[in-house]
Amino acid sequence: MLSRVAESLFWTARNVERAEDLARLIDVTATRSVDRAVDADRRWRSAFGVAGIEPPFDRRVDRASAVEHIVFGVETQLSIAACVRIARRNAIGVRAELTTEVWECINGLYLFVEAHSPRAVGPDGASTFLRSIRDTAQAFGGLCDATLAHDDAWEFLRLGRFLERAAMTARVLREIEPDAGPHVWELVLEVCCASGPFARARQQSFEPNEALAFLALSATFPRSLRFCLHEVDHALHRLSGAPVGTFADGAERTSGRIAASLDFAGANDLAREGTANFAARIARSLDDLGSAVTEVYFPRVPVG
Amino acid sequence: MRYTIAHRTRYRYPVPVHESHTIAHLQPRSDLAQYCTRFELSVSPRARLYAYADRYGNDVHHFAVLPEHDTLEVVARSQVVVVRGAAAAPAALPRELIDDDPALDELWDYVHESRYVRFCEELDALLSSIGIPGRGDDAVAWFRTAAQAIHDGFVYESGTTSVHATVEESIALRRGVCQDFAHVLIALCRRAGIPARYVSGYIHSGSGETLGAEASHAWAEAYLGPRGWIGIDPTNDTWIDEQFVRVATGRDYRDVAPVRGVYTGPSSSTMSVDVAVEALSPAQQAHTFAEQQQQ
Amino acid sequence: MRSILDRYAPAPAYDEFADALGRPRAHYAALAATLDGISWADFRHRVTTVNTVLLQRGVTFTVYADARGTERILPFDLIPRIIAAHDWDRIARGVAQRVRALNAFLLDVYGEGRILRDRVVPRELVFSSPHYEREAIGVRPPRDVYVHVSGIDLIRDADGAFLVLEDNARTPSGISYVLENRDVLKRAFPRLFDGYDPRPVDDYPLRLRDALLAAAPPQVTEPTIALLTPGIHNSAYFEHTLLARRMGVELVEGNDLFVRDNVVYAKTTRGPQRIDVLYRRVDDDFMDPLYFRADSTLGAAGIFNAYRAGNVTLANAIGTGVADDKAVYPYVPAMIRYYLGEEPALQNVPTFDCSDDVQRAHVLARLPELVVKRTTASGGYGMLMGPASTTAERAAFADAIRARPREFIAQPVVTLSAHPTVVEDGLAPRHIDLRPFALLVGDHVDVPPAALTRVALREGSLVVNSSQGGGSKDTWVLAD
Repeated sequence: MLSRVAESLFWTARNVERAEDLARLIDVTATRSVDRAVDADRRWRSAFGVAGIEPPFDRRVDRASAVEHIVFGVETQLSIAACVRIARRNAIGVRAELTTEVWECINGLYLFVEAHSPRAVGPDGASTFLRSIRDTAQAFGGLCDATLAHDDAWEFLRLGRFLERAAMTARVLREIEPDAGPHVWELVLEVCCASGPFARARQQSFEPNEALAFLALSATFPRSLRFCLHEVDHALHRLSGAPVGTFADGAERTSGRIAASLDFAGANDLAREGTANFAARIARSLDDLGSAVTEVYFPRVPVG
Repeated sequence: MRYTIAHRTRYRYPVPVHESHTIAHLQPRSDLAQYCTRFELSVSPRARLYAYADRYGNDVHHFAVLPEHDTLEVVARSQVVVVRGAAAAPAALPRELIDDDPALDELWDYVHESRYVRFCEELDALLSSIGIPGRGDDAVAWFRTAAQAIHDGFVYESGTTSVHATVEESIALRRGVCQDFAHVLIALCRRAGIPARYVSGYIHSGSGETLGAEASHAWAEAYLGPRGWIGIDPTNDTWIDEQFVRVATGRDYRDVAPVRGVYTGPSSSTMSVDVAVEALSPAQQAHTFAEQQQQ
Repeated sequence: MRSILDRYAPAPAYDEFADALGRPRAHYAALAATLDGISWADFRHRVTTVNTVLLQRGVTFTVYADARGTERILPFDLIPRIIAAHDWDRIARGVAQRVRALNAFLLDVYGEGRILRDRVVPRELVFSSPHYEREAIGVRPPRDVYVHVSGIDLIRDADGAFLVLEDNARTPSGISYVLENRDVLKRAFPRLFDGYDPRPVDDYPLRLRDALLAAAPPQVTEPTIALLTPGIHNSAYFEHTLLARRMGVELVEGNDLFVRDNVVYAKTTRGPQRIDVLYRRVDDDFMDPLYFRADSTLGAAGIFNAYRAGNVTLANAIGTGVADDKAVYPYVPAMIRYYLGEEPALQNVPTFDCSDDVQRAHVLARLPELVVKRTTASGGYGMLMGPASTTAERAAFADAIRARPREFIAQPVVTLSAHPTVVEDGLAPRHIDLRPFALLVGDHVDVPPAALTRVALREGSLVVNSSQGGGSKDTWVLAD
């Protein structure tokens, strides 16, 4: 397929995923901060860190500033509103590749976000608003899976979705302080949608290292780094036609390397490396992977 | 006269660019008065060269550099034998012989406006100060007078105008470079109903007084009926003689720009041009002549 | 029961439906019978149904420039326009003849220029045309085809004679309405088809593809076609997606293309894909920044080199706009005689060329009776409708004509034929035109029975352009 079309699909999915993840991040952080006011400043700063957005230097870092900058920020490409706009703009260019359901979903999400402002959302409405974003973004993934043929177009959507999801999980882990107590880990699990699945998998008392191992290494939890990397790896192999286990290009080599490092790592290895170090290393590798995908499938300069 | 010409154009880009596509009008023409015996174009980064003859009979080259690059260098080397002889005015020609010329109909483009040759009030004022040749008037003398008016009334000053000065600007400023002077002279001719075209080429500086020798040069040719296309250089106020090498002709600069192109990347770039025109000494000429005889 | 035909009063023009006595013409008899059996209430219900179908389809007509992504559609009128077989034969013959002549004219004015030397067409008109593309002089398109696709606009005068109003030899649009209209009408109102078997329109995309394949560079054995669109903001983007899908070809934008070694490629996820035929819906000026507008990103740098080298077919070829320049239009019948040695099967509307002193004087003296058109405008813009104009408007046009006579032509007002059309409270006559599309396949012209009827929805209006309040009708071409 045309590189432009593939690239637009990839960025549509990445931005929708990011909007969903950020919506959950803000919602969970807000809910948790109500219980533990003393810790609130730290938690909001780490939310800004996850989003990659500079917190306002002349103001308190709190829910209001998070809503203003992370949700609605216009000066950045990284806010939820910006992601939704970017996702829709990309989707428009590939409208012919999408089903009506998928198009209407993304267009609806855009119209919904555009119709709101920090003022309109207000101090109490944020949760409802963020949940709507999250639900619609999740519906987008579901509609892609359920209404599109699982051909190359779909693979590029999958690639974008899981690459972004892995990157978000890595960034969340990167923001965890070495001395983080159980309440921080609980928040992190919730941000990653993992509280329930983790509790079911563990059942006993809570251990930070086990939470880390779950978010990084679980083979079955769909937001773990390992799970996401395997999805990415499958998508890449479906696109190149190369059998899994062989490597046709730079993107497959990079994804294979990250996936293997997660396959063979144990909870103790992660603990030894330190959560932040480990997460930062993975985040860097994922950036490399993004560049490799761009180079292989959407080269800016036509191949000589 | 026999000349060797080296013409180097170099673009530098502060940020790498890609997909450069370039067109070059650099190959001297071969016609009755000059013959291009050798032409070599080299491009860096390397690129495959393509050539075609355009509708004016110019030999045009083009090439593309797709990968990223931060400089682009185009070097043309040519050898030309010019047999035009010394500058001399053609015999007088009553103007109506141009108007009655059967070829006039096909020269539509050369009596109308083109991108850089626009009619304007300033032009009409200049033209009326020179006078429009009527029936019985000598078109040859008029052509020379028009060129002289530019030569005497305008200041040659590089840097006053951009490459794309209009006729209106040039006349208003009474300044410009060879290209602007050529455009003004062409505009005067066309406004007076005499077909005129733009010539790009080179001039060999016999003395230190020659203007335009350090770069590519430009002048004008008028279609003087039975006398054919006759060239005058308004910059140096002379009929075209053996010091001149014709490269390309067209309606105006746009048709024959020595090197022009487009690329993908930020718009800032710097361009430098070096031109060297050397006349071969009689001994060298004999040598190359012998060399050719052997081939 | 009140039939919807009860109150139909034919217009003071050639009425397509009814004869001078108000009786349905033969080829409309069955439709009249069907309509007679339909109550106005029932009919209104059908109108609603069709609107619903269109609304559902509207998703694909979305105008993205609008933040809400809402749709804009050409209003669709339910009453089909029917063309008798003998009329269509003449139309098809006349259109084919005209297209052959226009193609020969283009080959000539970009080649030898015989018709100019022989002074059949004034050189002045051709050389002063903004669409006479000098870069294309001496560049022969593959297989000598310039006008692969054209749309010839026809009207019917008071006597019912078909006349050519204008030629569209660049990128005529509207075929998507032809395809959609038929489809929608069949679904929403099958009963209207009782007693009729109109010739199908839905093979148009395949016929277009055949024409494009036939025009491929001769050295290519299995040509790859792509459709080049200016992008989502173009008003005809829907048509581009529809045609690309139905032809089974890639829909590309300028940024998808690049040129290497005089060959056009599309950038795909599996590497460069060579493109041999580009059905381009991008204007000449925007096709190649190297030769035309340097700021254009809608085409690709170097495409013209590939074209000159004979490695890609551009459909239509570069420079066809000189053939549909309104100032050249008056000379098309002469072209037909000159190149084909035939008499035109379809006449022109009498036209005054304002660049001619005598004709201009005549035009300026009779502005209130004439229609004045700008030679460079299309879409119904830049017109003066003499009889409906104010003194001030006429004065403004007179000044403009004197200042730039080359840019104007004038024609007597031709009262377009009228056709029953759904209005607020029933059916009323509204003026219509007809745009058949022609495909040049080698030296044969294919005129598919897929023509667009446009209707001026405002009472009395003679301007059918969609930008000026026009709508469209399904158009049935009858077989023998």
